[in-house]
Amino acid sequence: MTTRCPSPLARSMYADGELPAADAAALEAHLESCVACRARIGALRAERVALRALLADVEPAEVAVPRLERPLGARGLALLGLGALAAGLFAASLWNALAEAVPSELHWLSPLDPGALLSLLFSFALFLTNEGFAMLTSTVELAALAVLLALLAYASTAFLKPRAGAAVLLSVVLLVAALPLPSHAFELRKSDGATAVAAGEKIDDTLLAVGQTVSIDGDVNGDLLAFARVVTIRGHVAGDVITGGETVEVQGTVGGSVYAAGRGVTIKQMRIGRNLYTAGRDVAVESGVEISGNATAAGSSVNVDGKVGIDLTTAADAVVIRGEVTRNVMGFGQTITLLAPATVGGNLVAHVAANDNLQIATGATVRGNVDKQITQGPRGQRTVSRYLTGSFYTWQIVRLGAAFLAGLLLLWAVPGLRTATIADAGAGVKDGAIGLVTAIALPVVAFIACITVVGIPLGVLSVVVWLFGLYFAKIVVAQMIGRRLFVSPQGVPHYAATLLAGLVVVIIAINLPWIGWLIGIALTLLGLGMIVTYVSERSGRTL
Amino acid sequence: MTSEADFAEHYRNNYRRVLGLCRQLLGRLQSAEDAAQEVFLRAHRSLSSYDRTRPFEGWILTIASNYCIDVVRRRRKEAQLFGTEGEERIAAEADDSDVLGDLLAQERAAELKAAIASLPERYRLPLVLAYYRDASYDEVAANLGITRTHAGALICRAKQALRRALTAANESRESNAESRSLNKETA
Repeated sequence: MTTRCPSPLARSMYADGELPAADAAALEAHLESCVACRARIGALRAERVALRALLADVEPAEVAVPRLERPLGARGLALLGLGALAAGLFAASLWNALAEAVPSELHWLSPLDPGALLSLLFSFALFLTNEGFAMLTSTVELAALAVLLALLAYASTAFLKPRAGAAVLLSVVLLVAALPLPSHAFELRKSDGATAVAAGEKIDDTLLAVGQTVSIDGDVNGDLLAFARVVTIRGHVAGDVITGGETVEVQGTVGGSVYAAGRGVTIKQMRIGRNLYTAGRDVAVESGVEISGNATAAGSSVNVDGKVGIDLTTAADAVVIRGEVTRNVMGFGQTITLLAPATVGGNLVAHVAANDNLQIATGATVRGNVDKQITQGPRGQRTVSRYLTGSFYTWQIVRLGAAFLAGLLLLWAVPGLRTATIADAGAGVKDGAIGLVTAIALPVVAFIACITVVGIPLGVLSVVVWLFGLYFAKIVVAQMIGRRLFVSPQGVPHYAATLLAGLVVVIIAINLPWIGWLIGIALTLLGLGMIVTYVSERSGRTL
Repeated sequence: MTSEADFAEHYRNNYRRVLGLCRQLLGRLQSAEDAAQEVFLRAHRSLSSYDRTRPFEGWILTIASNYCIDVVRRRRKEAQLFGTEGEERIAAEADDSDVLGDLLAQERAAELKAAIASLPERYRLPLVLAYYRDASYDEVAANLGITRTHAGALICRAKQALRRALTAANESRESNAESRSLNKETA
């Protein structure tokens, strides 16, 4: 009896030994009587052997075992943590030293500047790195100490031999001794409604006041941080005042500097021992205000009626000056108006939109020169001329070198990022969107963490992560570009070569006239998205 | 915990196998060297989950196939990377081309390798898993998230496609040879 010949699929599965037992038995019965099928099955088995042999044959030229890349283990993490901490402390002190020497208007030159992403970032970074740093130092140090202790404890249990425990203990003691202990103490006043320091009340520490409204009528011997919808300060603050709210009204005396941001900021009847930095839609420095140092004011409208001890720098749509500035005034605005009895001891440099937009009324005096510059569009002359300066190129080379070193460290520590890439346009858009969300979300988290005290260390950490992320973003993109440049059948060269090539491309691209800043932002967001995607893939995916 | 030295030893012993699997599975999608590197990184990170009573090779090859299939899936967004079982079965039944056996005998390994590399992913993946990794149809099916018969149909189709590719190459070579000899004669 001859049954129908089995299908090609059944024969193929049978030759692979994968046909279910019942079907296999039927097929075998058929084979007894069908010579053609027997031959076929024999050939299929030979084919299977041949295919397996062929697939198993990996060309010897390409099988040299490469250097074993060890992933970042506990030791690596500990080292990286220590390195990052050291680098952070070094950078902070360097920044502080530089901040002394460089006028605050030039802070945008910082390599950490992510392409003028947001002016908000600028003021926040300034807040953290300059004066705010002094106040936050103790928290940072405390956090650093805690991290170090945790790392050391982990390291000692995880991978060091037991007898190294003594050495670890010793280094902990040394570290505790070496690191300055937190010197600032905090006092927190927080409420859902009105938070107040009554007149006559004295607070010896730094005060952080949060609420619907904050009124400070007493004396604060440390710094004052006040965030509320309406902030009113009338008392005396020995340190700095950092304040933000919808409406901010400051009077009284402040020994340090005042940083004030809000929709409406009014400075009245006040002595400021050092500088004033303020930003808001309407900023008013009323008469009766005396600022010993510099004043920087930005907003939609800025009115300066008080006295500025050194320089006044201001940027606003409409700037009106009635007060006295001992030295120079530098103004950027649609219109700049000096009304009587304004006095400028030094020079007046006015960047205005049109020739008539600088008005100096009779009765207003400028003792030095008046330099009127007509701005041509938003990016004006500076953009055109910077390519002609040597310092521009020097800066770019420094930037390249720094990014290269940072990139080497990053790719050494996180080998997976060497091959991070974007599959297609869709994934690119997705990574860009993730980057955008991250770029916005982290500072928001940091801000929220900062005002809800529990989280000042968390807030600082978020900002640090954010700044590092922004910095490393372009490096990750550069590495990807570098790898694309070097694609060849022989494989890719060492990651240092691809990184360098990619960085050169990126730095040229972000310095292109007119569109460079846009490319810079796009690359930063893309890279940030890639990093976030990479990290989430790493942590979320199981094998 | 397996020590670093042990792991380095495993690396040396298994790198070629892993590299080969990545190369076969990924085709031109991503550099196989990078993929192999990533596979060992992942393995190293999850060493604690490695059951030392079982061979390291099987474990690392599982990680490698999961990783590569993931990469392919991410790159190819089509909902049905592997087609439907019904379609593939019908196609497998319809085609009854010659067996590769004789063609393989003609020392045409290079051509066959090229043909494997240019197979569509839905055929290449199951074929490589079954014949390179020695995975059973059940394992292939589980790996790819399809049924066992579907896997069988895809493997059958893969072999059919290879036979067709080699036969076509064979014919064009023969016709070339003919035209060459004709040219010689006319000259």
